[in-house]
Amino acid sequence: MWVVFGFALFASMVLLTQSEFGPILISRPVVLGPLLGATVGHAESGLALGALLEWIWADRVPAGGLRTPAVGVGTAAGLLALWTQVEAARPAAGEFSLAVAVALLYLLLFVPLDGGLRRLWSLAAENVLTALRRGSLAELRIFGPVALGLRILVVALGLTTVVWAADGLRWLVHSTGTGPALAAIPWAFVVPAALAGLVWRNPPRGRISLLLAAFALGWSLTWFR
Amino acid sequence: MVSLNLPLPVRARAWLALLLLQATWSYRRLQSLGWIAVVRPAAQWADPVRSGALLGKLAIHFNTHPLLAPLLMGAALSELHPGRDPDETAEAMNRRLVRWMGTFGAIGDMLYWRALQWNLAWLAVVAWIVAGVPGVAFLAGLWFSAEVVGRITLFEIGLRRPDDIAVLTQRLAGHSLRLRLQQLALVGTCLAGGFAFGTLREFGPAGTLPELVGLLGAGLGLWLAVRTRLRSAVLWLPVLLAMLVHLLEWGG
Repeated sequence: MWVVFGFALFASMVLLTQSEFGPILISRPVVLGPLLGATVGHAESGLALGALLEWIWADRVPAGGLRTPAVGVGTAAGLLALWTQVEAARPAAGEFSLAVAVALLYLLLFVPLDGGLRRLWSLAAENVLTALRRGSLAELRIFGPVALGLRILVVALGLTTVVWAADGLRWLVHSTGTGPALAAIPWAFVVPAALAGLVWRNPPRGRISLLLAAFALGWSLTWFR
Repeated sequence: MVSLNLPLPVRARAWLALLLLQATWSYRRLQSLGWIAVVRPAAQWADPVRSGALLGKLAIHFNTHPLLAPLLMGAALSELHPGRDPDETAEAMNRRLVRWMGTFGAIGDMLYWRALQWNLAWLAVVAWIVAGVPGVAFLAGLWFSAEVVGRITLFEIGLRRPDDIAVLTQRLAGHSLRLRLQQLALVGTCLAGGFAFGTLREFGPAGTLPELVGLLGAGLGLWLAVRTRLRSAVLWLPVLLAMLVHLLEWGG
């Protein structure tokens, strides 16, 4: 469990470059996926999982208070699930689907839970601002490091619960006999659909045929691995 | 007035603080505390006695895009002069902030989330194709360094040439820069997406029926996503359809 927590802590620090430090874009799923995946022996699965989540919401801009789905958190959660549930480097179809299910669950849960915590921090921040206006700097010196440290810890603890979530989902699948149904999900088609949606919302200036050719070229590169 | 010449240790503390601009200490998603943390080392160096008063007057409102914020913060800090009255300093700093915060927010959002982010994603897949995990790690390290150094550079430019902000803003806001980055990103994204599609097929079921179901589900999901802006439809519709077909096929 400590090893799992260590992974979750490392993942949290990378994930929080999305919001705490920078932001810096390396917490994107297709970057995070292979890197975190490599640390747990699932680099290719990490890429696959990251690619599945990368482009669905790629043009949602987190501005004006809008929170975007926590795709980085989902990727990390899915990889943790794979690591704790699967021994082989290439998971079977059903195992991959289980990891995706965990990823989606954590992706959905993170925003409201983290949003609630951030409201608590912002109440504390209001007090610090009030103290500043009175000329006191002590609260500012303490609040920053404490808030950052606590947030990393909370996210890490949250990710560690993936172990139990994955176990629970696995039990649910087994007891309801939906394993074969999970194994039948063709995840690959989500990617071209997500890309088509992205292009529809952000029409290119050039020809669509160039985009189709690029897609075909990318697909053909998988035959030469 | 004596001109400001911040020593390196003071500027280095500001560099670290500007990287934490949008940290958990954001108040209702405003970055006021982050801004104060950037000003504090310089304010204490310039006027140790009255720096608290200055910081109190600056703790009002700061909110702009974190990518371009360093440029603005450097320009605002250039108003800090040893011996200057805190009221006057705060007034001058806030004037610069109010003038540019909104503009930088808009430019930053367009450039960062819609251009740079999309380009990093496809570059990561290409890095994987070329060199696997080491390739992605190299790209991540390079990108991380570029973002950090870029922000520090913008801060220094703002600090030393605050009146050039207008010219720089015009260049960054240029339609052609953003458009070129986005067009490049779309082509690269399709390339990366094709590779991802081929890879994901190996993680899913084999056979004609699953492929047809996937195609139909994705098509329906896309239609729904386009009609209703429910982007996630491309994810859950193929899943729903595949599970339904499978359960019907096997009689539940």
